[in-house]
Amino acid sequence: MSKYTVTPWRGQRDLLKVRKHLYDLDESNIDMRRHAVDQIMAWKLRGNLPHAVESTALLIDAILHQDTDNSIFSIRAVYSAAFCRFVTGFCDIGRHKERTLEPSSMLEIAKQIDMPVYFVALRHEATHEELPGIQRLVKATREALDWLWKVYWSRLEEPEDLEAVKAALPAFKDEAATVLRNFRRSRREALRKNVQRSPEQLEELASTCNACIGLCDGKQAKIEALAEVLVEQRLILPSNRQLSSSLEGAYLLWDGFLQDVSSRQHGFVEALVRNMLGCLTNNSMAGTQSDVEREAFAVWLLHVLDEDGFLIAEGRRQSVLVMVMRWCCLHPGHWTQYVGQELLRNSEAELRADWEDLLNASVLKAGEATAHGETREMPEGGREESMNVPLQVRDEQVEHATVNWMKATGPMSTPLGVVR
Amino acid sequence: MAQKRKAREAFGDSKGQLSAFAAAKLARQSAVTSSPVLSEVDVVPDRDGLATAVATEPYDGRHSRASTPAASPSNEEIAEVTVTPRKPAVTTRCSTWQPDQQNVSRDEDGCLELALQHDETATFIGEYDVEVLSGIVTIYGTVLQPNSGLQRVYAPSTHALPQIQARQPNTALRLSSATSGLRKLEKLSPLFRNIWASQSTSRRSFTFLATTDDDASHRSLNVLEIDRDADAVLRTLSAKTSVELRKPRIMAVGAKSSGKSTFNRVMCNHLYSWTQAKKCLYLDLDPGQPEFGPPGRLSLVEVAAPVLSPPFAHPASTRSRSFRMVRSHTIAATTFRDDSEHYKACALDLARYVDKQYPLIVNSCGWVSGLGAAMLTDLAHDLSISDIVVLEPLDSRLIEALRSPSSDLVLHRIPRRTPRPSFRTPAESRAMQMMAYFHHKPSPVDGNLRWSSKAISKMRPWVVSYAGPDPGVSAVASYGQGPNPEFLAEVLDGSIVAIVVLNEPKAQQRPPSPSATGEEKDPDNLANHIARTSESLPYLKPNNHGINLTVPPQTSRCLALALIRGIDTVRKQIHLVTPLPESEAAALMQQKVVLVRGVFDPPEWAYYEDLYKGDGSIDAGERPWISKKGMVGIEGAVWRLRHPPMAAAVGANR
Repeated sequence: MSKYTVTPWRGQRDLLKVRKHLYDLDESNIDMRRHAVDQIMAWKLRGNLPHAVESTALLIDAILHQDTDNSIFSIRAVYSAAFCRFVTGFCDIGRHKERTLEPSSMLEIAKQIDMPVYFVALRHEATHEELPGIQRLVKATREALDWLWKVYWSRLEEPEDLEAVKAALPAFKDEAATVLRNFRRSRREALRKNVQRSPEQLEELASTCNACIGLCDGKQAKIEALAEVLVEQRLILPSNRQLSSSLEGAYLLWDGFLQDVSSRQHGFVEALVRNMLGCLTNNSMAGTQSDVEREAFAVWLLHVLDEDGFLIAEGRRQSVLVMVMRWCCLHPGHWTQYVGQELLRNSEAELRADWEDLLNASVLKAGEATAHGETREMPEGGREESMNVPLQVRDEQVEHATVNWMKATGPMSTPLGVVR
Repeated sequence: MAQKRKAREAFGDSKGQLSAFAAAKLARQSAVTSSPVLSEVDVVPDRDGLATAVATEPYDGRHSRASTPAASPSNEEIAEVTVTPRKPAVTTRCSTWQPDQQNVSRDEDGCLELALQHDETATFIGEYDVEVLSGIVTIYGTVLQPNSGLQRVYAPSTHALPQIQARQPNTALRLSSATSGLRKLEKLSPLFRNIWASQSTSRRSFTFLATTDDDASHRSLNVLEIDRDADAVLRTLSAKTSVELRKPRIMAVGAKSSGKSTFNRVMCNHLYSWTQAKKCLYLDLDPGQPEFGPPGRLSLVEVAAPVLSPPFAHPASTRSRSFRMVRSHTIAATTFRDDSEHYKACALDLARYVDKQYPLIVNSCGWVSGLGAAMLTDLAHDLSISDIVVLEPLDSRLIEALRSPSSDLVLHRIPRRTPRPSFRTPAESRAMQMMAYFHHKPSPVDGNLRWSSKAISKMRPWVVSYAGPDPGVSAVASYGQGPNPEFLAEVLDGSIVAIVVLNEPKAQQRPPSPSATGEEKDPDNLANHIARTSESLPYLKPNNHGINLTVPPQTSRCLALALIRGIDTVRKQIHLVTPLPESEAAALMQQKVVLVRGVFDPPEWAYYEDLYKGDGSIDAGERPWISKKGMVGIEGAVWRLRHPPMAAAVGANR
């Protein structure tokens, strides 16, 4: 079981970029080491910087320092300081991890972590005797960087190649659609014969779930695509449905499958909900038959959000609800209003307090500004727009006084560090 | 998970948690014999693995990192890792009172009424309101009578539990359940988990404890005891306050965890009960563990109510009548090591606002050697301390130095007491205090504080412009080391800053200085030191020696701390989450605001809140600064045996 950890970098990619710069892996001939070292020093201020990263930056800073016309002493001093901190840190952390009453000596720790023992000797010399000569320091620094590459940098996990995943998506979708259609066919058959709880049917349900989850392979893009197939190809809608007729049949067909996948695959419900929301606000669907579909998706959406089986963890359900409410407010339309109002009607006081006024206001706003229309990907409307206004009318002092400290209007749905 | 348990079982509890190093050592030692441990050699990572595990660790003196949430969404697994019931080492008697049919007159869901005989004591864990119906009791050094009204007590397992002691025959009490919301923070962080009354055994928010063994969760608990020596000092000082015209200025001096803050708290309560004014001033100068606010802040607080809770449960505010914030500064760090001059300037500025008709209690740092000792000596002199309470053991040279400057300074000694195990490391205590601070709701003028269990990420931020002709933020100041300006925005994002307000009115419109000589003409005007990053973020430039400027405490004050939720570089706005009341934050529009960053602890607790609450996972879109462990390659089984937060501290005392 893996656990989370806090890093000073936003994402693994940033760390890999720094690695490229530090070890000069770039094809270009521009020396980016200074930039990378400054970057790492900034990370140091954020906290939680691995000692290997810090050590690498310090050692490279010492190398860069040698390039200028500094005094011999200062060059020796910077090399020594960087090297000492590198060695001392590794040994101290090792000793701390040891948690024994009689801590091992630095030398013993170095042996345990396979650090060349002369690193420890050199540190000793630099601390207690004369500063070592430049030649030795340069050599030791190069070897230290090699060692750090071996124990840390070379072991960084490369994030998956997004391009490759993207390229594989169409094929993935076809495959998923086939599996799902087969499942629907056999499920319908079973319902007709009223044997949907037979062992064979349960077996089929389980194997379809496994097949889909296997296909997704834990990749977020594929999980999105699976949800997209279900919604885009209208797999979860009954064919030839009339306006406002029941969806019970569809629930019977799909609930078991959807709930199972939801509970096992993180992000699936969210993707499903997003896709349904997309349909609700897709303007090209205006027209009789499409509106029947939009109504069906609205009802489905409420079913997904309502049913306990889909979102077991209360916290997760809350965050999906916030996402839906936000969407409904920012994309005012008949069906988003319907979904928003229904959700508020059945929800806790806190959600109502947060959203009721906004939702009602969004209808008015849509009435005023029809030019915006209902696009599928509309920039975040309401609140940001109103905050934008004063920036546009920069010369009017009065306007400014009211906006330089202002409380955000809507509740937040992005994680910390993400503005939108 | 399975492997983890296996390792734990194999190594057994008696040895405490083994690190990979110790395990490797053990494995080597037992290589000849065939002990059961040998079978676990396979979980010991290879040598490169050891090195890599060391390599990923930060080297910053904060080794014990707060426990991290499990990547798996299941709550049980988090609980399994963090809540390890442990038998308390010693059983302590907490109460002489025992419930029976005669002395419990009411026993309902939310309420308990009890009768105590003279000198009987009763101890409760949890949060409760206590009201004396007849007679007199003492709790936490304060006296409660029927006219004292309802008093809120927070008694979590992390701190010594206060005892209620009857001081008259036939004393009757009513305890009632309290719901401040503080308990709900356990949903957001394991630091707050399992510290209140066990809910499985009690329908109330508090539980009676006859002995520490009574605890259903088997936690190690301590009882707050005021021994005879301490009591004598408290009485002497209270008497002095009542009698003398010149009110005493008291500073307790002692090493870390010598019971300094507990003494100060009890001193407050004693003064509250035994002096006429029912007020004292509290000069909070311990930036690592302040009594009345978040870490990194120094403040002067007017205390007009008994202090019956640990620091995280009573932040001071300008509107509170009980703990009123008179004035506050920040050093943007949990120690004054990096800039002792600025620290002292802040302390002395706060001291100028002390109302001399009330006694003063100075909460000093537990740093009693080197620079810390020199600072204590300086402060004792500069703050005109009249009484120093020495919590032994203390370096005799420091005692001499404290005594020497003024002859009428009185030393009181409290002999060494057996140290209590602390259940949270200092870093964990700071995290709890910071987290509780950010979750407390703007305090009502009267009545009790409440806390919100909404995750930080869901709180509505303040949107503050940092560019344009009338920005909401004039500058960002870095105390201590600052980043290369190119990376300032990156360092700020998701970090904690202090909101500092300058005295100078905003309307002041100076003509822009025509040349670079402007700096020389008016070096005190901060405006001359402001530069902008490529994102137009204004920041205070370091001086010619590369040293960062601090905002002078005489002409500024710290209003609150804030978490930078995000920076919108397109609209040039900073999104800030702060517990500052809405009216006070809105008033900032008219003022010059500097955001001060420094070496506040990184707010890891804030990043984890969503995950602990079960709000989606890291896979569902971007979640900055959080990654799954093991990104660096190895995932050695023994390494990942994470310890419950308090294990290190408790293990050491076993």
